[in-house]
Amino acid sequence: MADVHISDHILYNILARLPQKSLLRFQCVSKQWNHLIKDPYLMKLRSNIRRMILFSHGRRLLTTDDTTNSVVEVSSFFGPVDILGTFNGIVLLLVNNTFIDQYYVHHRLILYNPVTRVSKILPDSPSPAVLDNWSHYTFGFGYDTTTDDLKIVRFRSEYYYIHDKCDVFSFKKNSWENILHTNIQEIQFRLRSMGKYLNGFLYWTGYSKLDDKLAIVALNVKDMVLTKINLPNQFSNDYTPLGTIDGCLHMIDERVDHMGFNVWVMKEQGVENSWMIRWSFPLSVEGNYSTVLVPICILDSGKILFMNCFRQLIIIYCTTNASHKKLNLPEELDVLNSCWKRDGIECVESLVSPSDL
Amino acid sequence: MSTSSSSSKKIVLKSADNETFEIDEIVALESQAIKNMIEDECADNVIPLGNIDSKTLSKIIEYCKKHAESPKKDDNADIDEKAVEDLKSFDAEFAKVDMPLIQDILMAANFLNIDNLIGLMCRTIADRIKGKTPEEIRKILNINKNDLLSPEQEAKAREENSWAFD
Repeated sequence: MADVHISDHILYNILARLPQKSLLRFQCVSKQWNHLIKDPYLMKLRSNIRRMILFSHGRRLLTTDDTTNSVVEVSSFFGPVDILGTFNGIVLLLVNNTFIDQYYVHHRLILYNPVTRVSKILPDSPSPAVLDNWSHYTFGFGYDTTTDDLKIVRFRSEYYYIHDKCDVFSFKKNSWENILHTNIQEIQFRLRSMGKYLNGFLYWTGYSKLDDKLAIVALNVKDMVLTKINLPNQFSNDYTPLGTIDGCLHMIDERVDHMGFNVWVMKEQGVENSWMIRWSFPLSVEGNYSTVLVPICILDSGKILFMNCFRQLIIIYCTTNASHKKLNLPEELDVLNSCWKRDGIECVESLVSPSDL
Repeated sequence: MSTSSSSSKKIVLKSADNETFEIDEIVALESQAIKNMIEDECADNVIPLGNIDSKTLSKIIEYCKKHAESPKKDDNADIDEKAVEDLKSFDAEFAKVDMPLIQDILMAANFLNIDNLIGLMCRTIADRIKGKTPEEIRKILNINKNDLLSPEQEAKAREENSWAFD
């Protein structure tokens, strides 16, 4: 074929469909590509997707308000709430509603759209309604592309911290099903690890039972097969949040000098020797060095949320311009700071109704 | 959906290599450009398409026929899932052609202003190039050698985004 020039508006149309990582690489294809990829207009084409950050705090779900740079309430529930995952603008929440002997024993799973504030209660799971503590559960919220079905995966333990029972809620069937053939025996989830969904897989942090080493637990949502992904030897933080930036899995640990953090990227999904440090930065806020700051959420935009260990300070660190800003917290939150769950999540702003999933 | 297809008007399209294609007007209307010409009454019996060869044009007609026959989304709120699936799998099959033809179809669809087809071709190209290297892309898409970055500029772009390369 002859030398055909692709017009700018056609090239925009192609580029807008590419993952961020490809775009970064394609800046050196030609002058035209370089120019268009750097043009903010392309970002605008791509980012008709807006995202919001959610935290749980006691009964309340909170978000950040960009205009006032502060944390504000989205809504309040009938019991203490935990955020379990998100898909397509809908968050999956666990709301605890019965309190016996210091433990919340009965919970409801709720789908919630934080933009429209519409919610839907999911059917109760078949397993015993009364279990001692939801910490014995690990949840994931993912999408099976082959059957075009959304799934909630729940691992639970009947014995101390051994997550050997697995139940799956299928949105198509609108029912729970017990999965018998999981190979969970070799792997143990880290307590309160939130499942992160990426391209057909759910990821959690956990441990290998064989050598007790920190690892990523990956679940193929299609066939429910679990695999263990080893972490780089230098990686130290078992409380790392998992996040995705540019379509790749990221995690974060403290630098050896205790003056800052490393952000790690798994360049090839599922390939354990493709981990590398993408950013390494010093961070000190109001005289607090990294030792008192805990990363709680990795945002798709390359920003990272930190909370201090006294839970009265939340900052957003931006990796692209190496700066951070502090969020204003409402006064009444200070008093209730023990209610902070230290889990944050980023979800797409959409008008999708929970009933449409 | 069209109700009077048997009695419908015919339109003749003529390719760059002088092959003529007689099609139902409803099929031709998939092209916004032809639609405008017909509405402005500036279309003769034969519409010459001097920059589209017959191979590309026959593909485009195949696409427009299928899409003209399919029930439109806005016609009917409770459209049957089967028709949507059918059209999806047609599109997937339709895009299984080589890269030069994809590009020819894209250029022609752009000229004829067939929105869905432009989208399908752009999506196909994006899917095929997303894992490639810049060198491979230059080759696949026949990027003009005069439009390359200087070696210094290229080295800088690679350096800044080194993690995105293998």
